[in-house]
This record gives sequence, C-alpha cells and structure tokens, in this order.
Amino acid sequence: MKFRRLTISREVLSQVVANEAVLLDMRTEKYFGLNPVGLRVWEMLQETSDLRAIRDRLLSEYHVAAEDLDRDLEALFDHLVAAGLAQEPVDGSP
Amino acid sequence: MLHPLNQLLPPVTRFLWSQLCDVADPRADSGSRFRSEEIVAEASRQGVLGLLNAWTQSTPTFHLPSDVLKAHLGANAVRSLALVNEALKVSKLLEGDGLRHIFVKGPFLAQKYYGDFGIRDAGDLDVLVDELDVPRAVLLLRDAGYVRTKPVRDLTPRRWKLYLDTQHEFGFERRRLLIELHWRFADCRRLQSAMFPLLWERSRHVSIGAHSFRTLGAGDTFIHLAIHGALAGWSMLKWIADLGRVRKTFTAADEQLVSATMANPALSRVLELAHCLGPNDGSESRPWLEPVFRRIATNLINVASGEPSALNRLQSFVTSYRYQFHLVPGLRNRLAMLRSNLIMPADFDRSDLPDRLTPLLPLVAQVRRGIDKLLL
Repeated sequence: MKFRRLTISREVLSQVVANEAVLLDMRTEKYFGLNPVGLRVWEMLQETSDLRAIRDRLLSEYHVAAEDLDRDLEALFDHLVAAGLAQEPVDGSP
Repeated sequence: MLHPLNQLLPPVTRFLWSQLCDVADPRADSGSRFRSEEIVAEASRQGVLGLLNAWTQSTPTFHLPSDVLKAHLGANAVRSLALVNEALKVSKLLEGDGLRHIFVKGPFLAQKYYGDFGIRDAGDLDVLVDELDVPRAVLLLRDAGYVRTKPVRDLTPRRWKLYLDTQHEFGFERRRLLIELHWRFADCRRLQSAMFPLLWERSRHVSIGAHSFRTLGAGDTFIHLAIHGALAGWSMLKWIADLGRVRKTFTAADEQLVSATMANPALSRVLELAHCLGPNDGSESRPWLEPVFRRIATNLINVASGEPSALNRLQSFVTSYRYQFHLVPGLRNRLAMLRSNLIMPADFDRSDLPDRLTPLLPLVAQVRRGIDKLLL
C-alpha cells in the first residue's frame, strides 16, 4: 500500500446514519458519504493509524480475497487523502 | 397513580412518550399493535425519530421502515453537521474578540446528554452571551456576513435599550441556517434564573470531533428547558424527553440550584411543571396542573396541524397568554411578561393580519404607547 499510516483530519466531522456515514470537511464545507465497509474503516481509523492492522482486521471480519481487499483499501485511502479527510501523521504522532 | 398525560394523549403519542421519556405507563405495549409507518410519522412530527431509532437498536423485535428512517436521519445528520460547523465559526468569531459565549440546546445538548450530536432534531443554533457583550457580538456577526432576521429593522439608540431590556434574542441567518444570539432565556427578565457570569461559571465543555464548545451546566440546562418548554407549550415530545435525560445527570449542586431557583415566584410553577413532566414525577396531584396538562396534550396532538391562518395565530396568541399567565402567577410577574412581549413591535409583520383587522393597528399602537408609558 502507498500509505503505512493515516490519521483522520481534525477538521472532519462524521455522523452515522443507518450503517453508513456522512462526513463534513469543515475547511472546504464539502460533504462525503461512506458505505458500510467505508464506515467500518473510518471507525477503525478513529482507533488506530496503522493501516496494516486495519487491513488484517478487515480480512478477519469479511470473506474477501486479500488482493481484492488491498486494491479496494488502496483506492479508499487514496480518496480519503486526496479529499483531505485523512493524512499521513507527522513523525512522532500516534 | 397514572400520570395525567396517560389519559389525555392518543395511543401512538402515548406509546412514544412512555418509551422515550421513561414514563411508567402500565397500559403501554411494545408498539406491535401500531403500524411502523404510523409510529415513524408521529416520531418525526414530535422530533424524536433519532431517539426512536436508537431505542429500536436495543429492541430488536421492533422494526422501522429503513427507507423512511434513512431519509429523515440522513437529512438530520447533514443538518447537525452544518450546525456544528457554523457553531465553530461563530465560536471563533466571538472568541477572537474575547467574548465569552455558551451554546444552548441543539447539537450540544444532544452530544452531552445522548452522546451523539445528531440524534436529536435541531433546527437552529442558540448562543448565549453576556448582555453587555450583545452590541459587540451583533456587529461581529454582521461584519462576518450573517444577515439579521430579528429584528429586521435598524434600531435607534432608544430602541436598542428597549430591545435589550425586554427581548431575549437577535436572529441571524447564513446559508439557510438560523443563529439566535441570546442574552437571557426568555423575553421576560423575571424568567431569568441567573446572570451570565454565574451561568459561565457553571457551564461545561462538550467535545464534538476535535473541537470543544461551552454549554450550560446540567442544572441551568434543566431550568432553560423548563422555561423554553413552558413558553412553547411543551408542544414537542423531544423537549419532554430531554428533561428526563438531563435530570439523570444531576449532581447534588444541580439539585440544589433547581430547588433554589424554585423560590423565584415567576419560575416556581414553570419548574414544578418540568418536574411533573419528567419521569416518575407525575403522580402527585396539583389542581393548577390539570388545565396545564390539558393544554399540553392539545399542543402535542396539534403539533402536526400545519401553518395556522392569521386568525388562528391571533387566537393562539391570546390562548398562549392565558396559559403563560397560568404558569406565571402574581400581578408583577404578569405585567412584566406583558411588557416584554408587547412593547417591541420591531419585528411585527403587518402582513400577518387579515385586511379587515388593519384598521385596528392605530389602536394597537396607542395601547402599546400607553403600556410603554405605564411600565417604562
């Protein structure tokens, strides 16, 4: 994966709605939606910035091939970073 | 003994009331005899669909139609996010000028007492500042692009003084979000429980995302809800549900604060009513409460009646005064309420009146001038 660690931007607020999520980036005032799997990843990102740990937990939770999961996660993390919803932590932060 | 509202509410409303407001209702069932669409519609009208959704998570036998629920909760989530976003902007604006401010109700109450800032329907943003800071706060909001909606007209220096003296809020709007700037809980000064410095001292932090906001302490929140609910005729279940939720978090200091505030004759009945509407407190019979409960039940039933006609608004104005007078005994308190609500016609909209009533306007103006003279 391109990123090893990611943290959620402190300027992003989230609301869970029926297994999905609505995110608001308060800097750009843009809204984003997450599907149930995206929400699960988002919840894990709130607990850890270690993307490998997130991948491993998802592998144990969902019946999915590792290659497919890696591809989907890569795409999701790229989207989150490109949209400014998550970022690579500066050295020293958890 | 059954709570008086048990006898007065229709079955679906009573079901929601007993489940979401923690009120013992021996006749309440699991809701299975109602159509879920019926319950969702009523919960939506009463502003408790988010609470109902949370309740159903722990009651797997009870299902709600997910499409309706998702649409409503999605809209509410977006609104709550927008309100918190706006609150942060307002907060930075006021803080940047050193103005102390406290957010009241809305997403902050939801976050503090339900753990989810989007669970409760929130319409606008209420922010409380010291009365002395109001002129500065009004200027800051205006310069930042917020459009004043209440009062619409500019105020002369005399009107400014009158407005601060007798009203309780300035209204602003930006991108269809309403921001109300308050300096007391209600128009009538006698319904104020404490001056801002005391409210500030008792205020609490609430964190939403990575940001921290100030909100009223639990005792002051209860008093505020009691006043706001009483003036609004307790016409939505969400306000009644909040009472129990806030009261559950009371410390001894909060209990003491509310008891001490009941010594204020203008607030004693208002707070007594709030206690009686909360869980496990409706069993004591007080004769003055009977007509009040009847009025509240009517309001809860009528919440979905839609936009009233101008004549109905006039009738409702008179009825609400009768009801408020019932809650605020004593000539001085009642005169103070009259004064605070009548002398400031700055946001009075003539188009509210049907044509046949417009000849009465000069008479109304004369009466207002008379009241001004008598009371100011």
